[in-house]
Amino acid sequence: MSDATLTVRNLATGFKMGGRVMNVVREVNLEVRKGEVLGLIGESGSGKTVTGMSILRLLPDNAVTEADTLDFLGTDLLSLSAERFREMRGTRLAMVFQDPVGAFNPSKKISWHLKQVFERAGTKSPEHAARAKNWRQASIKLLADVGIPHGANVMRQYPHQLSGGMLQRTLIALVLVFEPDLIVADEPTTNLDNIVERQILRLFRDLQKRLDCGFLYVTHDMTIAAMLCDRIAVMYAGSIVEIGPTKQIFSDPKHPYTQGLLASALALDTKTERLQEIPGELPNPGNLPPGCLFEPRCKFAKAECRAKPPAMTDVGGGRNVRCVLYGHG
Amino acid sequence: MGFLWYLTIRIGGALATVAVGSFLIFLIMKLAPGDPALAVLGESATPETIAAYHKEFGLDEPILVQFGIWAKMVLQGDLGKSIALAGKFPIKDLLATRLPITLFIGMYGLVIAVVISLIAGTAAALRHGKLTDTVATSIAVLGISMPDFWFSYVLILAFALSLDWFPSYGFTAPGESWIGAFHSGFLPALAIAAPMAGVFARILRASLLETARREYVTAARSYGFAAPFVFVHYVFRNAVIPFVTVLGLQVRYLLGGVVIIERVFGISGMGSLMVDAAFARDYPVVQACALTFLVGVLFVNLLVDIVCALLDPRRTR
Repeated sequence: MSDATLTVRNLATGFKMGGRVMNVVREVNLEVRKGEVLGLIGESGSGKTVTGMSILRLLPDNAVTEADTLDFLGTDLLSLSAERFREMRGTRLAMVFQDPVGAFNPSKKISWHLKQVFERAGTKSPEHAARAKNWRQASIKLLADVGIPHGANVMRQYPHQLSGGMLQRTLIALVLVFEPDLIVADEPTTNLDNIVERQILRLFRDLQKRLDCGFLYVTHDMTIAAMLCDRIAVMYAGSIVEIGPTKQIFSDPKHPYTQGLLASALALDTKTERLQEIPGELPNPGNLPPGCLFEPRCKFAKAECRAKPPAMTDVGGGRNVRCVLYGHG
Repeated sequence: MGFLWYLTIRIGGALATVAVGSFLIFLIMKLAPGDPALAVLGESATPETIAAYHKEFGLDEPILVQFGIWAKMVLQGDLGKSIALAGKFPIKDLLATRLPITLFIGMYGLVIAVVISLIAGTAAALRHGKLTDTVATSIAVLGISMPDFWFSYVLILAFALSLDWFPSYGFTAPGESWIGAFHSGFLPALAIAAPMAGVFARILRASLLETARREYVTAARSYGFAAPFVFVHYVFRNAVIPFVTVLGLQVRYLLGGVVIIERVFGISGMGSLMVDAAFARDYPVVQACALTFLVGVLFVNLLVDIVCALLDPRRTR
């Protein structure tokens, strides 16, 4: 694919714990195209955050990431030295965090954060360097763009003096400073109330259209995914079980896990008398079932599901499913 | 709440604590057994001479009146006269010679402790889990566990008696010679510093490691800031706040240490003065010493609170 911003082939990430490596993510294949939002969906502990963080190499030192391909606009991210990788961050790669309050240095004013990011972005191009010189005016304009009209006042504040919504807007403004080619957002609206969440989601839509960049949006919320994402990758126990265009996945979910996720999300919308839920819980990453990881919780499970892990199957229409119901790949 | 408001409240609180604390000091010394008149006049004192002594020093008035007299005198800068010391020295003059010595030794020790702990704590945190960390942490535990008087004798044995680098006894006041003060005060200051350096280093190491795991540090890395910049402005800047707080809490142990260390090294500072006065039932001197220590501890705590408030905007703004 020539329009791919990010291509991930066979990504696996584990954590070194007492001499052995505990794998929490494996066989992740995905592609984020220029100008699209790819939603990475799954319940807590499914490995979606670890996937996002390992692409940006932001995991703690005991993390081990391997992949066949980790290509970002023709650059092999795997072979980059730590220093070269650092140069990519803050110029071409960006991350938006789950907890906007925790993502700011509590001892420094908002203006300090903007100034530092402007100076960092100044290394990207002569235009960015010129803007870094007038960072104050540029900051006020950017803050206005993300819905903060009194930017000069906000810049005089410390992070703890601002609301979560304001801080999330400011975080987005920081990303706008360097205009990245790829943004990884990790549940950036989870800590916000409903109304602010809608505003921030609209802001993300605008931001992504304006930058025309690739956008990997990690969330557990099907409603948000439906509103924001062009395509969706569903993660279960560290692997992607289904990937495809949002519309088709919502109208015709293939994988039993996706069907369960949608049923539980829809149950909330239609107010059915009982909450639909998927029975059982995620398998322990140290003790995975030998076959399909979802098999113990699946109502269609049969003998062959336990034999070996199913492979990804192309079911047409740009969709792939990891389930024996749709062939063996 | 503005910074000035915070400052006003803290200073007001400190003054109130001085008032309550000084009354407690006064009360406890009054309740302590033993009649100072007997201590001064000896066993041969007659009831008449004792009564005359009590009248002269106001010891026959009610307790609150005695406290009132004393507090008024203290506020006027008159700390009274020593009962026991020959010549009935004004306590003010005693403090004028003794306090600078203790202040010097105490600050010297504190500075040594802070410098050692900053280096050791930062090195341990940066080399977390590696040999440097293990060595620094072990030395810190050793520093905390060693009794200070024992460590003083080790220092004297090694650096004074064997190597003869420093004097084993006595102290040259900074008024006479600053170089002499730094030289003769080094071993006592080091003995006071050892346990504090151990505590400080461990606190700093733990605080640095805890801060390094915060989301804002990951956020800083995601902006591509260089590792030294992230460490200084994100990790160290925020980790140093609990470090300074603990530093303030440790100052009272510093005073306890000074009493012992001054004894071991034969230094005539506040610690020796207070111990001698207590043995001689020299109430006014003990009161004055305790009051000085109280004001000293409160002043340092106030200073630490102000520094913390300046470092941590969440406290006041």
